[in-house]
Amino acid sequence: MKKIYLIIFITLLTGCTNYNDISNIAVVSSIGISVNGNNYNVYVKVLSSNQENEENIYTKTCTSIDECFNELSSELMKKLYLTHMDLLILSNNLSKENYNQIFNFFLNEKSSRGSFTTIIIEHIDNKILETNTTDIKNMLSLSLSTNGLTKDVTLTDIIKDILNYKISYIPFIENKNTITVKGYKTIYDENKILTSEESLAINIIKNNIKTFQIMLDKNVYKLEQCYTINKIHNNNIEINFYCKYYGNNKSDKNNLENYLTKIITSFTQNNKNNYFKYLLYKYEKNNNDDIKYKVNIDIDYKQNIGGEIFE
Amino acid sequence: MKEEILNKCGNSTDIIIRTINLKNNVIDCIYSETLSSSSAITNYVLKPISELIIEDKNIVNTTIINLIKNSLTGSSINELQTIDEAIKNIFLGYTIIIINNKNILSIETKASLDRGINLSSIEVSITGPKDSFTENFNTNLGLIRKRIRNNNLFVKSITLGNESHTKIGICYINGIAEKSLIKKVMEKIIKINNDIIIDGGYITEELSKSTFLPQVNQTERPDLASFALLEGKVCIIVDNSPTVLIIPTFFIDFFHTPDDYYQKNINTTFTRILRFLAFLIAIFLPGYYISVTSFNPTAIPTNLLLNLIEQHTIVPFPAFFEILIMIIAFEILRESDIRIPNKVGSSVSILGGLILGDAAVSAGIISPIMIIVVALSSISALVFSYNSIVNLIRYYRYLILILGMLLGIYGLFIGFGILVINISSTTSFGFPYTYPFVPFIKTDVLDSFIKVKNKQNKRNPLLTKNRKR
Repeated sequence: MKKIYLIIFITLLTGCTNYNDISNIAVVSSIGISVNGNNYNVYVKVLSSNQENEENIYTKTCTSIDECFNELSSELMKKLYLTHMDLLILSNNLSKENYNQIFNFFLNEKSSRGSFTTIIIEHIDNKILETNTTDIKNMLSLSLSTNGLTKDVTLTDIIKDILNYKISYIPFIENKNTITVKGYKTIYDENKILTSEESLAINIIKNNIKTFQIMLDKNVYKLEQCYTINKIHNNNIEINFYCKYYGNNKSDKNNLENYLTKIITSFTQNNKNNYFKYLLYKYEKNNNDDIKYKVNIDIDYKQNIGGEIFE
Repeated sequence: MKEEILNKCGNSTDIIIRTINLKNNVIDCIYSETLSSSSAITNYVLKPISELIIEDKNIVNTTIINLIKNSLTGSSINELQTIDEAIKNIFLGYTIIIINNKNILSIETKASLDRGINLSSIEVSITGPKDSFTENFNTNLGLIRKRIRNNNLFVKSITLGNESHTKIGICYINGIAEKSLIKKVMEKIIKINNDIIIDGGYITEELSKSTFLPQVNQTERPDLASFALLEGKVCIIVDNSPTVLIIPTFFIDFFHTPDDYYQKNINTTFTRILRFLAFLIAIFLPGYYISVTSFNPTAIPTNLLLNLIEQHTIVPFPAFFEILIMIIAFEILRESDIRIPNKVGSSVSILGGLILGDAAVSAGIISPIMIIVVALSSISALVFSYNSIVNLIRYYRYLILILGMLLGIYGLFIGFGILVINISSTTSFGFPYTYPFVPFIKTDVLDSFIKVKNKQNKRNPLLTKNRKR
């Protein structure tokens, strides 16, 4: 009898209520959220199982995100299923409170996995939702490998950053005539669009970059096999950035080192560096705001002899 | 005396009496024309007796018995004492000779009522021997003896079935098979008290405990039975049964075929792994499909999920009923395919498999993916030629399907756990079913789900542990 009770108990633990017939679900591909006064505008792109009509975009304006999703579910007569979601698009005008509500919604939604790319955009419209999510992801990874601008950031990364540093860097995309990656936008404790140099600096500091290009005096320099090591001691933070540069002129090494030192030093001086504060607290148990930075850039110059003719 | 025999046989029309008069002596030959060979009766009984020349009119009865005995050319002649014995011999195919209504002789004149040695039809081999057991006890024993020409191959015969009087032969190799195993088998067989034993299946039923897992293996291949005997197992030959029973049997045995020993090890390893995969697919695929589509669509890639949704939207039933309908339809199709005559078999397969399936999809009753899932699962089960393991797969498939429908992936793991517990808690005649993994026997593990090297001798270390090797 004990065995029977045990089986019933285990059965009850499993949550039979999770049963979902696949014909009753609407697979969501991407979601856009913007704010208009006290209302949320929610854009949902639902993938169509009918091959002729590939996707449908639905819009709803409500006082909360949950309400919008409930109304959309009733309208479609299907449960909105977020596990296959690829992209979350947030508008530029969201406040700290709005972010809290959005994150709570996705954390509480059972079918959400949080592994989707998140971007901030100047203005949300159907056009950006119609854009293929793979194209947007490719654009982000290309911007990192060429200009060192932005990394593909997921909602889980953002929530982790906010919990740790109270600040997160989200790719910012401009969609005026064309869709362009501009760099990062900081959210939560700080609300600021970073310049391309600042975006490059934070990517270097957070060791996001492996390969990238720098344009100086109309010349393009390609840096490879890059990595960053941050050292913390008392109030001193030492940022050590190493890269290999294959070129023909050894003086380029100094120019590059000076340029990178300048942008990282400028970034540390002009931005709220919650990231470093967190590191200080984590490793040194130190809450001191007076952080001293030391930037070491080491470009390993290699003579590029492939295909070159020397006099 | 002959009237009494006829009366006891209910004056059956197949009981024939031929009376020969030799001077003053009356010789009655009684036989069953269905069980005896007419040519044997003519050549070994009637012709020698009718050619006897008796000149002395006052010849003594004992002398005439000896004269007849000496004249008969049959191989087996016995003198019987009672009428009941005579009747029993008639129905064994013997001819009874009653001399002057006093003395009874019996001579073997059995007709061959079996179909001869045919190709094995169920356990088909590509490169190995093609012969299979028949319904004849002696032929079956001969097929084994042909492979093991050894005086240590012992056969103990007993008769079972209160009404059928079926001959049962218990074969083993003396010096290899464990005495305790032989004793246990004998004890269990003697206890069988059925009225009728038509086939080996009756014995299997009596020897097996109530579990899904088969504890007695049945084979129609003499080479497999010979292998089993050399391993130290016991074989049971049942008269009128085209299969021989092998005791004990292990779970791993159902993944082996005689062909495994007639080809290169690498090929055998590949096919054995394939069989194991087929076993898992056959049991788990329908349950996995249900659990993934009903509880965990997350696990399905987006494009495939959209495809499945599109296919499923037109079907009016929940996925579980859809799959249940398909599995039951396939079971009916399989059962009808076995029973119907070969001549119409192919047309039924085409009608059932292709036309019915296509029509069901067109009518929107079944989705195409469901046909793929059920067909793949059912075809995987057909990899196994042993009916007992096919039945095991069938029952577990239903169990896993229900668990998957109720509990999702979690149910699948529960089902897998039940299967493992069932296998590991089963024994066959006291030997663990999980051999050679538990107990771990390294030499035999190398010939289990894989085959790494050929063993010099076939002896099973578990079955022959008390024997000198």
